[in-house]
Amino acid sequence: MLKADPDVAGGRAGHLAAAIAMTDFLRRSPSSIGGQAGHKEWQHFAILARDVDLLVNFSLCDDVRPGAEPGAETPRIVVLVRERGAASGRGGVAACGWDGDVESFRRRDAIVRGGALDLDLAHNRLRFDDAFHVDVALGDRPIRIALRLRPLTMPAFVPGIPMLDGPPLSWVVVPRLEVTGTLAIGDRDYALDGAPAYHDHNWGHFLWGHDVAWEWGFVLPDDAAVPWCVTFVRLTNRARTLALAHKVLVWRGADLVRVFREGEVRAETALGYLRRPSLFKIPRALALTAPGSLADVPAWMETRAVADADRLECRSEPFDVAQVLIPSETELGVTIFNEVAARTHVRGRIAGEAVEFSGRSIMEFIRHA
Amino acid sequence: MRDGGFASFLLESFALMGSEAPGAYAELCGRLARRRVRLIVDGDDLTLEFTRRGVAAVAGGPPSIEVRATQRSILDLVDARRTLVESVLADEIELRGAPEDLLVFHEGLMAYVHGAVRAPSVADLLRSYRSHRPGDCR
Repeated sequence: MLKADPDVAGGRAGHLAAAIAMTDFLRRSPSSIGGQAGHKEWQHFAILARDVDLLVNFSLCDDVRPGAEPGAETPRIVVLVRERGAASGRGGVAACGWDGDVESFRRRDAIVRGGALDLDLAHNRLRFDDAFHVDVALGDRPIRIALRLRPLTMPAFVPGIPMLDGPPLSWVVVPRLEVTGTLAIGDRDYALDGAPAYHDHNWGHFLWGHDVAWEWGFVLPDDAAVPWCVTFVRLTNRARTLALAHKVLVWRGADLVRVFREGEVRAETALGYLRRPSLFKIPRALALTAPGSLADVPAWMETRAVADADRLECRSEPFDVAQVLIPSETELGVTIFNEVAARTHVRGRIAGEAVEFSGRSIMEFIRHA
Repeated sequence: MRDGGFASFLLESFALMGSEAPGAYAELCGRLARRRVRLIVDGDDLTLEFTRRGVAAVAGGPPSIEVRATQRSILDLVDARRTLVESVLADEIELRGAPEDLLVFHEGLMAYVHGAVRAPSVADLLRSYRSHRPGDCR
């Protein structure tokens, strides 16, 4: 099994932690010291446990409203949880087993240490030492999270992702971690020990509502003994007629072993859509402005990458979706983050070795309304 | 004077929106300009007159749109337990007006929601309204 790999369990664990500490630290906005406003960064975690999927996202966005003080930010935590077999019904335990919320914090309740991975948003905390520590208790929903996420792979640092309306976006990915800890939803407690997880961190200067969209996802194998894992992303304009970046990243064991770039990658999607009887949305009040149950998420998506003698195909079949709605900063609209649960089959050949596995995916399709 | 009821919640939210989300507030007022909206929520009976410059509570006069609701039906919308269509079809929210005015009201309501989520202080105000019990401070 990957977690018993002596490279990881032994001396390399320290190298992983050091590499993450060197790449994944909080950058912070320069606007408080006279630099350009419009900075955003977020630390994202996705946990795929047996009975529950959990997304936790810590973000800091410059406050670009007219009259905002220089350096003012909006700190937020987004939590989205999908319970298998949970009761249905809007409002309480969500339709299709979804629950969660978007919580914003006052500036005075945020303590953020730039240059480290260390932040407090009121009583909620994110830390990194040799592992990530995530402690969150939502204010308006009965959800409590206490997790340690131990990295199993090296990070990938992807700078210079082009954007149409501003400087490039940066991305750090740690696609495979092992979780210990608990999640409580009301009176339901989940022990998440051993669950696989994914983490990434983005930062850059842009506004929600700018001319950008993306389709992103990862695949973690069902069988923990499979050494492979994959992350893919396609960043486009809003109309999705122009691809700005297109990448497939492949890890074997702890190592990033292949990056397919732009012209080496093709994506194809179904003409039909994933359809669900209802669509869970947070924050709930914003659902009034983006009603309906049809998400612009394809019924399937295939990503094919070929370069030299290496090739990889990922076919993802979404089966559930919830939406995180973030107010646009350029207009009275919303940026819609479709958070999609999917099954993915991966096959190909990397460095002469056959690759074939099935796994679970979280995909994200950015849309606008 | 703030009593925590619907009328004071709504008027305070307009004031907060005007200072914290002025673009959305201007859009709200622009969309509903030249219209009067009467809102009857629990014990509160409030008539608002919109102009492009702002909104003010006025005494009476025939409204373009009349809305009857309860604190519960409003919080059901805010918390996504009901959609607007479901609330209207279930007679939990009653809307009266000419079709054109009702369409404009819907556009105004959307601008209001956009403004409320962009004005950080409205979250605390909403918390206060949630804790209000209709009939308090009367």
